[in-house]
Amino acid sequence: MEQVANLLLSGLSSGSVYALVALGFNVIFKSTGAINFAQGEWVMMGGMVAATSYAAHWPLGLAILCAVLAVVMVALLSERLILRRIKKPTALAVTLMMIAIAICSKSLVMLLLGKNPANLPGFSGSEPVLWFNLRIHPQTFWIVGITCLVMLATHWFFERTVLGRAMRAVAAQPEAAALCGIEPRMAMALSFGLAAGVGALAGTIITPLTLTSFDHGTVLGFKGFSAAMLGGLGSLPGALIGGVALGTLEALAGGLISSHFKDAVAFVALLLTLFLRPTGILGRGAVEKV
Amino acid sequence: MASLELAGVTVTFGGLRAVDALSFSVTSGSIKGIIGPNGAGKTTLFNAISGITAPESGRVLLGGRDVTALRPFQRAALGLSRTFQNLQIFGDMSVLENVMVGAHPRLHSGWLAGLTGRTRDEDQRAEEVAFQKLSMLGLETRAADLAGSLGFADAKLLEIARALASEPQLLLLDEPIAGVPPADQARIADIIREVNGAGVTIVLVEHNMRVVMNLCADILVMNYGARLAEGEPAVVARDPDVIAAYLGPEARHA
Amino acid sequence: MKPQPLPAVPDSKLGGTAPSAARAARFSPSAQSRQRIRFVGLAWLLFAAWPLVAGNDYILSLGIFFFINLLLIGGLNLVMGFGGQISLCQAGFYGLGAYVSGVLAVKYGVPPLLGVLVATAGAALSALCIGLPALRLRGDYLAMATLGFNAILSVLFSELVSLTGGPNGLANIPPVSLAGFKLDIASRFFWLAWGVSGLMMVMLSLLLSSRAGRALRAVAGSEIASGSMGIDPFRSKLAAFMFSAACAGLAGALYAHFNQYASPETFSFATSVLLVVMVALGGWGRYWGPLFGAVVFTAVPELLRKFQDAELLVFGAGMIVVLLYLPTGIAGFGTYLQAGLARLRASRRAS
Repeated sequence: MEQVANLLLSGLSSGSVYALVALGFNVIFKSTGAINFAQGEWVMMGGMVAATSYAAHWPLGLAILCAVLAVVMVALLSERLILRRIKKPTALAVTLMMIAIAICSKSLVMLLLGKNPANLPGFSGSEPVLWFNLRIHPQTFWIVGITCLVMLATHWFFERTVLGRAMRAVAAQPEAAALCGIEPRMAMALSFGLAAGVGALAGTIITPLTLTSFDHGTVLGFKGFSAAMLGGLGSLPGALIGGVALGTLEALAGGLISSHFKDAVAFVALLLTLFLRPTGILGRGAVEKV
Repeated sequence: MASLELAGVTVTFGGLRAVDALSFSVTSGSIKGIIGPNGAGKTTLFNAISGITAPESGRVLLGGRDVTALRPFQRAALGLSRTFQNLQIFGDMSVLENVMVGAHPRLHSGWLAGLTGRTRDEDQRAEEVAFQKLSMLGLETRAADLAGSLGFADAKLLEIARALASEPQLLLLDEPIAGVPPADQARIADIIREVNGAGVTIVLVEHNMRVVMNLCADILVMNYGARLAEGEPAVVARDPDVIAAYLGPEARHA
Repeated sequence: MKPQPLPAVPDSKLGGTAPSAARAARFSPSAQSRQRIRFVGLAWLLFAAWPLVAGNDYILSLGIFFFINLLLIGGLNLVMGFGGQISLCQAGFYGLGAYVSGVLAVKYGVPPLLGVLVATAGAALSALCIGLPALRLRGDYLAMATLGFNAILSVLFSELVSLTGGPNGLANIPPVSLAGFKLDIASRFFWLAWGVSGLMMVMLSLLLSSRAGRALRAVAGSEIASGSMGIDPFRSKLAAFMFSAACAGLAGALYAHFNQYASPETFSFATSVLLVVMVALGGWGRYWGPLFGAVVFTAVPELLRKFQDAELLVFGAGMIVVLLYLPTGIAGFGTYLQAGLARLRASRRAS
């Protein structure tokens, strides 16, 4: 019983991070129709920049802020200098370009920040909190709390603010939105900034638990992508549900069945979702069949 | 005998009835004109006939056979062919190859034959048919060019050549003349007549009234997805509902 | 039930002039294919001199890896370049081929040549299983499904320790024997790789100028139009995907029996991504593209041996440049040069 509770807790914290990564996928999928292969690298980059700044004796808060800003800058520059120059920005072309950007991001981090794993201290220490019979790492509270906050803020942004509504309009009807004076390119840049910022934040909050290094991004990205598919690609609440469901599933399978195949859980879930319910748990829009 | 028959076909897009319980038939060997204001549902109707859009209700019959459940490629195998108003040419293939793709239903080789090079005779025949269609439309000098490099008018001609390469029984032409220079318009009309003379049934959507009145013995006027009028050109042209739909309700009293 | 076509209208009734033979030959795609195959013959004759040029076994084995990479990239180019579908599992099928053939030989004593055939068929079969559900959906679903499948295969390669040897790899894979002749050294194995990859190039050329190849390219051009031309887009894409997986499976089996060792990281998802990069670098949907892609994929890591860490950056930046400025890749250079020269001449004439 206690073991299951512990597994659920660790699932909840990794699931929260998957949810944030999934959020990044969804935001960009909505605005471009492309799969953002760089999402996982941005998460890793966030963790690496924060850890490097902290190692240079910057205050933790400043290190995190610096990491988020740096990754947002990288994303905006990629959008401005590379994606905007694609002559025919079809979903296929953008997806391929994101693969190239992901490769470059990963190798740049490796070249500039080194190959060694980097660490951050827990935001409020690492002394476990006792709750009933469970020993909980305090970082868990930070992860779950920040994820909830980010989810609420994103929801508020897309539902309540003029800018957020405009971005939804562009995603749904690019031509119509352009006629109403909403610049689709602007919305695209904004979605890249948003996805990168959320991703970088996810990278900094998970690092105290798992460490990070230049080659962590790819797998993290694909687990986040599996979470996005599971919840329903393009759906914001779906990202949360998919992320938490995947994190829990993975922790339970790893702890109760076999730790060897833990990494396969996310991808089996991805394939099953694709084949059985391609719209995901919350997806409403019918997926077009050939 | 009816080559094409629609019985109560309805197509909806999110509550909007693009085609509304439409029934009509096309006599084998004739040319049927379909006209109507923009947004009357003409292209949607073509998509329902060729199987790209599934109707919500109603049936589509080709040569007396119910094809409502068949996919586009299966309908093509039954002798249906079409052109696209918004040009759907294969831009990365040569002009000749585009037309050869049109001959697909008349050829038979599959992947294994293709990989082992047992398609030489068939390819030769396909090339001849394709070249013949190209020269019929005056495109033979562009045969080796990339289809994506064609201008709008030539691309329209290519659409027709490609559709003809399958030697269809029933040919759907979606605005074959719109956007073509006046000099070529008469030639396309002649080609349509010639193809029809060889026994091909044709359904024609076109805005150019003079051409439609000239070519078609039978015209269907659509408005808001439904039939407004149907019959001989002269009768349709005098129909007060048709005049109202085209010129606005005031025209009825003018 | 197969729909029965209506009685056909005879060709002769429709007008148009018959082509003169000479004229048709100039435009003829099948004549172009025959020309291409002659070039392949010429190129492979030149490649046959590699064992003479190569000073040692290491250089010679680079030639073998070039042919193996050509199988991988050539197959991938069919489904991606000509079929317009992203597949992110080429390295997974590569590994599947290597492990199926390797495990059959090491653990069950199956003759390597039979193992190679089983591996090729097995890769195609697993592509069928992935493609059947994924290709029914429109859009990038193949990319997503193959991404997941490669990741699952990677986990299996390193976790099924009793079969695959796990992260330590599978060692002592026996070499292929052809008619009692053991291909256990590079100078012998070279000819197998040389022949198989040349055969694939010939088959691809034949396919592309046949009805099936035209159908595949048409589907990539416009799925809607291809359907109305009587092509089943689903079957076309599925066949291309299976063929590309078969090429990868074959490449993997050859790799395993040549290298006599296979380990999981060779077949990781990262390799799949790099293979996609090579298709783009060589020339997307260009017949000769994979040749250049395979040269880059084989040579660049060797050239950058001293700056190994920069390899990824070179590939990534190269792909960005190609996607932005050279959409037809290295294979399109000839076309660029022609266009550039024509422009130069025109401007000279003008001045």
